[in-house]
Formats: sequence, structure tokens, C-alpha cells
Amino acid sequence: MTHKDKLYLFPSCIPVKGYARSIIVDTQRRCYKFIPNVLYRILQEHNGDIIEHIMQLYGKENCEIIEEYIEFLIENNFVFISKNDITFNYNSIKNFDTPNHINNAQLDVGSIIPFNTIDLLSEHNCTVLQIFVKETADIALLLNLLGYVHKSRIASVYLNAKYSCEIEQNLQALLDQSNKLQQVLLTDAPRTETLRLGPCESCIVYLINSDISSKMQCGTVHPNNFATNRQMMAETLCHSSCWHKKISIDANGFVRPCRFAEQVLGSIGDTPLTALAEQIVALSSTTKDQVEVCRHCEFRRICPDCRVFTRNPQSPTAHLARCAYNPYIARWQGQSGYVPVDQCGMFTPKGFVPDAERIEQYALKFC
Amino acid sequence: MDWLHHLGERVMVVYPQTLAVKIGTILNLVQRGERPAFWFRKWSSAYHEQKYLNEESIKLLNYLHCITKDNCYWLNSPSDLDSNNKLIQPLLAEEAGLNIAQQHIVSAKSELLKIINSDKKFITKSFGTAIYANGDDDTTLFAYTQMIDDALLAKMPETFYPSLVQQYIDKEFEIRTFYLDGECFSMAIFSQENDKTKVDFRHYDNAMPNRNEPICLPREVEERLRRFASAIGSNCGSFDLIQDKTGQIYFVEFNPLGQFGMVSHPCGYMLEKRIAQLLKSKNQCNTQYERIAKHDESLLPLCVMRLEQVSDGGYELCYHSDFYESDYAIVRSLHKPIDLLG
Repeated sequence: MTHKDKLYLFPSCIPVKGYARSIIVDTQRRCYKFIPNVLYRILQEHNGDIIEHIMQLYGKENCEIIEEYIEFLIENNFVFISKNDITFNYNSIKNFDTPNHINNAQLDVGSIIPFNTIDLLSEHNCTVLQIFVKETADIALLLNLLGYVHKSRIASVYLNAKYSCEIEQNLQALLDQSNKLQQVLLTDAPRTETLRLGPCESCIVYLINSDISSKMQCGTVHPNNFATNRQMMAETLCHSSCWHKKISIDANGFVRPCRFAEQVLGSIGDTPLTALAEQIVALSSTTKDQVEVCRHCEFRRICPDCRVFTRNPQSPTAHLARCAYNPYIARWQGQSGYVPVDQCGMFTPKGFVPDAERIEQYALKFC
Repeated sequence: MDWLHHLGERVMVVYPQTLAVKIGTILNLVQRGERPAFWFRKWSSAYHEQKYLNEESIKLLNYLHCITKDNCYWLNSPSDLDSNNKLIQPLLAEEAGLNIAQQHIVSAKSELLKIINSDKKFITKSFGTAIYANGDDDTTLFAYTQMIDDALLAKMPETFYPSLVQQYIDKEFEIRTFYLDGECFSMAIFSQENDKTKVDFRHYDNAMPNRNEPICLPREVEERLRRFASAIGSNCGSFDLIQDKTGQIYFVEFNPLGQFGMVSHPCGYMLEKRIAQLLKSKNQCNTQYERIAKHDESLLPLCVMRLEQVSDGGYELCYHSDFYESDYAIVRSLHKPIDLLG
């Protein structure tokens, strides 16, 4: 490498700018690294430029820093250095589409198997089915249900149920019924444990020793929930990753955008699935770039959204109620120097307005 | 296939084992004046135990192609089965204006030594894409492209079956271009930093995977690829190209029935969707379908020929659109014919 070479950012490495800092998401190696906002700017404005030119532009006094930045980029394989002209395609990487109107369905199952609903989802190429069994699960019903789903076009099944000895003893029988079963979540278990079943350990079983209903856990923001793949990055560009192509059907056939949402969109028997899907499209058009606070957050493209548990259920762009990160000072709750977001500005009817002066004061405190 | 279903197209899938049952339906449909679109994928020539039946089935396919090719759209066709000759392809590529690597056919060690006596490096590879052979111990041997080095030379007998020896191009990166009826979808594979994948990226490294990135080829190169495809008589397939350190792009080979998932997924090209849309637009079978359907439910207007069954394991996975290179790791790296010695 010489300074006469050109610096190209790989299309699969996507920088996202936040208020206090930025990240580069490596969608192929599934990870992200923090970068200062000034490096974000360099990558935006000088991608494909000759290194020497970038250095000249930032002046002699910054030469060393720029060199350090470039070393960091090379070390992490975020960039390609070449003397040749290469036309990378930065647009195709943003494409996202699936061959269906509904890709994920949550299905509450009571005492009867909703065969018609499964047929309907299958006919519409729904890929993932998340089954919630309400009462203590009847094994015969579950076996029957999995056998039926196995013959459908649905590709993967996630099963959520309350723990019972019977269900634990029958895990293998369930998997034998259909290898589409990818995950089993058993709550209120006597112990917490993760099991792997199947010839390729393709099925993960989580036993969770807690009485926390999943309602309490949904919509929490945590780095463990970040998804750094290309599909997620592309989806979050145009849609709310929470509601896009997802529906929830309760045991009575009522359809909601999410099982915790209050609004009912219709009934699965009465409203055509395409009509329901149209409503979902409209609901999921809010992106994180529009959501208050999130729009200033460097994690917005990799963090799963939640449009149910927000600060203001009346506003489609309200901030997540369960987010414990303050992007204005880049601090998580519990970290030293953390203050809640509302101390860095004001929540107004038009959204959150950051207060630059106050944020600067907090930032200075760390230095 | 999911895309065709989503776009509301009816599809008939024909495998070698179902050809016998379905050919009658297809011929019937065509003879009624229907013009379905065909998509020819792979044809395992070893399905029937009797060699005779395998040959017969290909003749039958050729017949179907012959009587329909003027009126029906074929995305790939049985004639693509024969176009995979690595000796002939470079000739056509050069005519189309593409750069090619210097190559020789060698059958004796002494000749080989004369060639590689220059400062240039050389590689060896198979003439075709029959990349599998059965080893003595029931393992599957896999024909990787291999660098000719002292170790290989030491193992080599004085004479051997004629083998392809090609000049090694000092690459900046490899390129896979999926060619779909005139359009090019290119992906650069950056593998040079990695010794394991230096010669053939299919030696997959899980710890430090190659970067697969979407790129746009220069217009004139795309034009030459188009010229080549039309010369070889194929409308769809996968080009292997190499860009060398000076920025020159070399033609390596063209696989008319190549898989596209490994280009489509990382680059976001949505090739599955594009193929489905193309087939839908070319399918001219809607008019009489309702009427026919009443007589025979199994009569479907669009015949998709994807003729190699995808199994859950083993090497056949490489034909599946969700295939990733890591699956190659299950087969041992050996090569025909020089390096079958290994």
C-alpha cells in the first residue's frame, strides 16, 4: 500500500452515524466497531479517493490521525486499497424483499388447532411461524400441530410454552414430527438451561426459570439483541423491523400487528390476508430514522424496533420506552456518567429536541 | 420457486425420476398451442441405473427443446449441458474480445517442465466441470484448481493423461458474474490475503471468510460477456473472471448451469425474484389454462425444469440456491488427472 492508492469502503461494511459517535457494521462478519464521527465523514465524502488527497485535505497536523484511521480500517478489513479504479455497487446491498406479504406469524393456540389459518399462511409463503401455547400444553395436540405444519410451505417453527415434565420428555418426539422446529422456549421451568437437539443440533431449547412473561421482555434494547446481518440492515432502511411483514393471530382468530399490540386489524376468517397485509405495510413504514431519539442513535439500523412499548402510544414515532441507552452521550444505563435521555433535551409534541449545550456539558465531564 | 408462487404462477417441476410421467403432459400442452416458459437447471445423468435410460432421457429432453425453442422461452436449455469445455471456451472468449490466460495441454512431465521453466506460475484444472470422482476408499474426490509446485511435480509420473495447464494470473480479486438474459450481476471475491483460498476460493476458510462484494464491471467488459454468451448459445450462467493487479479483467470460464445463490445473497441482487419475474413475463400459457385445468388438474402452464433433485446433504447441496461455499468442505481436495496422484 502506498499513499498514492485509493481507499474503497467495502459495500458490506456500512457506517451508521449517531449523535456522539458512529459505528461500522460488518454485515458479512456479523459485528460492528465504533468509529468517531469524523471518520464517518471521511468515509462518506472520500470513498474511492487517493489516500494522499485525503491527507492533504485534512492538513499536516492531522496526518498521523488519518494514518491511524486508515490502519484501523485495513486491520478490520473494512476497506480495500487499490491503485485500480473499482466500481463497487453500494445500491444492491440495500435491496430487501421476500416472496410473501407476511413473513412472520405469531399464532396463539388454544384447545383446537387452527388448520385453516396454517393453510392460509402457507399459501401466502409465510416463512416463520411462532406458536404460543396458552395453557399447559397437550402433547397430542402439539404433535398433531407440528405434523400439519411440516407438510406446509412454512419453513421454520418456534414454539413457546409453559414448562411441564411431559413436554420436556417429549421434546425429541416433537422434533421427530418436524425438523422445521428450530426453537422451543419453555417458561416457568424448574431450572435455567439451554439444550440442543437434532442431528445437527439445529433445534435450540431454552428452559427459563422465571415467571417474567415475555410481555415484560419484549421491546427491551440490549446489544445482545442487535442483528448485524445484511437483511436486517436493508430492512431497517425502509421499514420498522418490528412490524414489517409480521402478524399476530390470537386463539379467537383476531389479528394484530404484534401480540402485545392493542389494535385489532381484523379477523383471520373474515378479512383477506392480503388486506391485512396492506394494513401492516402502512403501519410498518415508520423507520428508525423517523423515530425520536433513535434517529440520533448509531445503533438504529441493527437494533430491533418495538412499536408497542413506546413513550407515547398515540405517536407512531415515539421513542422506545424500554431503551436504556442515551445516544447523546453514548452511555448505557449503569455506566458511569449515564443520565437519562430526557436530561439531554426536551420531549415535545413534535418529538425529542436535543439540547446541544447540556449534552456538551455532560460530555465534558467524561473528559 | 417461492417467488413464482408469490407472483401467482403455476409451476411444474420435473426431475429425472418424474420425466417419464410428466413428459406426456408437457408435450400435450405444447401441442395444444400453449407456450410455457421453461427453466432448465441441472440434469443428473446418473439417475437411472441403466445407462441406456439416462441417455434416452436426454434425447427426450433434446426433442422437447427442439420442438419448442422457436415458440417458447427457455432459460438455459439442454444444449447448455455440452457447452462446458474449458478448452473451447477461451477460444470463444478471445473472439469476443476478452482477455484470457495462456494455456497448454500437457501429457508428459518433461513437456510440463519446459513450460514452467519460465518465471510465470501455472495452475492445473479439469477440462470440464465434472468435478467429482470416486476415490478408492469411497470418498468423494473434488477437482479443485491447483497450483503446480515442486511437491506436485515430485509426485508426478513421467507421462499422464493430457491435462490442462494454465498460466497463473496474479489476481487482485476474483469475480463471479451471474449472467441473466443480457444482464450482468457481478460479485468480487477478495481472497488474496488468505493463503488457503489463494488459488481456488472454494477452499473455504471459516475463521476469516472472504469478502464477497457487489461490483459493476466496466461497460465494455459486460458487452464482451454478452457477445461470448451469444456465441456459446446460452442465455444464463455464471462467469468466473479474474482482475489482475494491473486492473485487467481475464476470462476464466463460463458455467451455463451455475448456481446463483452465492452471488445473490451477499450482494442483495434478488436474483431469485428476477428469475421468477423473467419467467413470468415470458410465460404465454394463461389463456387456455382454465379450460384445460377442468379436465386435468395436473396440467400446469409453466414448466420449470430444475432437474437435479436437491438433497439434504452431500455434494448435491451445491445446486441449491441457498448453497454456501462451506459445504464444499465436506469433500476432499483432489484433482483430475494430474493431481489424482495425490
